[in-house]
Amino acid sequence: MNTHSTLPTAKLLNDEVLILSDLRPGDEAFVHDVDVSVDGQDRLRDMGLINGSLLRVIKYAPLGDPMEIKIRGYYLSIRKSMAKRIWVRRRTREVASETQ
Amino acid sequence: MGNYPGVTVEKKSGWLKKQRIIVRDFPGTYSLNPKTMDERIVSEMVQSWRKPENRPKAAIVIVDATNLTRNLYLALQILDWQVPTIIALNMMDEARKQGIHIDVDTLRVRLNAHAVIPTSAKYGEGIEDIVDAIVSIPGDHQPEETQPRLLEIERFLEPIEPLKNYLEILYDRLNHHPLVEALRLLSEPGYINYLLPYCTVDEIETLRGLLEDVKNTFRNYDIPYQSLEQAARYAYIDVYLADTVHQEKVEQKHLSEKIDGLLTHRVAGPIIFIGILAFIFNAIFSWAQYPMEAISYGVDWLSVYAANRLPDGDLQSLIVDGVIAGVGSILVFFPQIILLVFFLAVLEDSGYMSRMAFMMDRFMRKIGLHGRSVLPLLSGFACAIPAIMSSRTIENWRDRIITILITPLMSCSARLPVYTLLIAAFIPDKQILGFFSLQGITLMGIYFLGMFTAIFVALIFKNIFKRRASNVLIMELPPYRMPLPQSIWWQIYDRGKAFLVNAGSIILAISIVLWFLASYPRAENHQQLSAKERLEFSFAGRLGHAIEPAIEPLGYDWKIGVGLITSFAAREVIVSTLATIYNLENEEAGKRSLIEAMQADRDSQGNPVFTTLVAVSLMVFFAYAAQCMATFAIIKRETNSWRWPVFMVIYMTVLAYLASLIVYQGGRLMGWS
Repeated sequence: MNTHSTLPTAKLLNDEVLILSDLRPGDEAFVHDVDVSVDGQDRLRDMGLINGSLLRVIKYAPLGDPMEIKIRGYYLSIRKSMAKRIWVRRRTREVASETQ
Repeated sequence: MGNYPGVTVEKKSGWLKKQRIIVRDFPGTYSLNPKTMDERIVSEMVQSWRKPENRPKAAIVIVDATNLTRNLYLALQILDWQVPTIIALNMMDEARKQGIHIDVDTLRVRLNAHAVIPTSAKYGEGIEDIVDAIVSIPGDHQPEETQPRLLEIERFLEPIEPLKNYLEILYDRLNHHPLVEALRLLSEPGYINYLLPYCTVDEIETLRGLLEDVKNTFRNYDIPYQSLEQAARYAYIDVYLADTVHQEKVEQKHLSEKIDGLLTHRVAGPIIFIGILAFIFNAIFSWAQYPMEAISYGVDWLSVYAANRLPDGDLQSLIVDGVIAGVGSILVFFPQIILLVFFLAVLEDSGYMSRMAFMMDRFMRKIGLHGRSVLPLLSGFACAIPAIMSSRTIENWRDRIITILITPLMSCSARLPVYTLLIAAFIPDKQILGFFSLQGITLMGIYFLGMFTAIFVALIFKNIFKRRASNVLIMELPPYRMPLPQSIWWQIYDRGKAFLVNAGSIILAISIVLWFLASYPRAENHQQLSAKERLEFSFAGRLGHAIEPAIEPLGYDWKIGVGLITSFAAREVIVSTLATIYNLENEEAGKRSLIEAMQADRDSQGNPVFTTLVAVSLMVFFAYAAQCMATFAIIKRETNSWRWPVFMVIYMTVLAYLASLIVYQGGRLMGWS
């Protein structure tokens, strides 16, 4: 929860933290943080994409952009340029098996 | 208030049956922080609740029961305005099918709502209960004061305190929770403007100062103050409300994902997309054939009947050649318009339309548009009026204005009568590959011409408008659903009614005026003149001749010229105009169908007036020209300026003229005449 205005690389923050657009279809992850300086971030949060929410990447559009994710039981499409400003922690197998 | 963005884009009002209660329907939104024009309507209405006289008897928030936690966000924001609130858990039938159980009573108590009512718009479930709940509210009822519905906000309270305390002093004028108000001021940059009418200049200055102080404090602690409200609301939902919803493990939900896997597949997706469009255009031409012939037969019968019953003279001529020929020639196209509206409604209601936006977004962005431009542009095939209105869901000004300006290039259903008349008359009825008819292909071609031109024009505008394009696309993809027959029916009814009302008013009036213009003045030797000579002597004939020099290079004679003038109000009028003119001209030749009359028409040298080339040139003109007063008016309203509608008319008219000129002159050079 720091350095909100700059774009940190995953390595600087934590080995586990990735950017959303690096995930592949089928990957599940928790939202780590959303850059508050990116356009539209407030709407994403209105729609429940807040720190700690679980999401799953469904697919990328036929032309490679935008991407489709599933969050809170519904499907949402966002462009990769925005997904680059959303940091996530991949949901590991261990965590997955505990909660299921 | 619905909560499905893009479906309703303006407010609609109606009276509740047998009650003195007005119900107003508002566009759907995700929150009270608006991003688009249609959402702004909702937040402005809620802001008006600061004045006690504007407070409604009750607010009804319609939420999707299959996806409750996300939908409750808006409900919490509305509830905190302290008006009696009824939460309608809509699509309850669907939720039950998915194994979702909602503990309605607990939810009501925890939300402290006036009522929580399971409903289903599909089966009409719960409508009575909502009415009962509204009626049960006493006239001057104020809900009891509650704490704002926020959780885990305590640790941020201290920095907010000064701002909150000052808002507390203004509470009797602002009528909204001081803490919520403070959070909204922190999250929404322009929010303070909503307070201007209720505060003095000094008070606003104080508020601005306090707000800046609070922001600075948060900045020092590196706390993202912009998102405090969302975090606190979702904490409230996840911790306090989520356990009222239980879902059994049901696999059925994945069916939608499987369908989606095919329909938006990397390879199959675009192929299916084009296949669906091809199917629709083919169907419009072939399925509508029999009902169209039936209507045409009925009109012919009526005109013979009227001609036999009425005495010869001006009245007979007015009824038969003016009214029946004019209005009848338009009614024939009713089945095609119904079919087109039907297909578009199915595409939208099934959820496929948002997948089109999803697949096309990248391409649309390349040409200066947005994924959300797909819906207005495709709706433009039915009618530019609702299409331009649906562009309200595009948040970026530039994306929206370009979408509005190119939407009229999509061939709307009013052009269909013009195309089908010309195609049926002058394009040979041949089969190609034993499957598609040449006529169907021509129709599809003229539609594609409009589409490709729209893309080309968008590219030009993209470079003219310097303003920044949006880089944001946040779009929900609804699950695939079987479209509701009621919903499809209402869309067809609305558009069909608009068409018939148009035929019964504007087209009727123009037909009568035209009949007059085509019948008068009369030459002194009226009786000796042929019908054609009489027509040339009339006002309409003179008007057509006056503009003939301008349209001759396009291949049009003066009769088409009259049609072009009358069709400036609405495109389809050219068909009734030609019908009126030809019915008058061919009086002695007996009543013939318009198509035969056009095919048989010869100029003074004995050459056909209409050739295939003229027909194509005319179709191109109609594909491009801005001949619709209603579109002009709606663009004026939606952009709140005369500049854009005037600009649209100029660019489209120039485009239409040049393109038809190139088609006709180019065609002649190539030896087709």
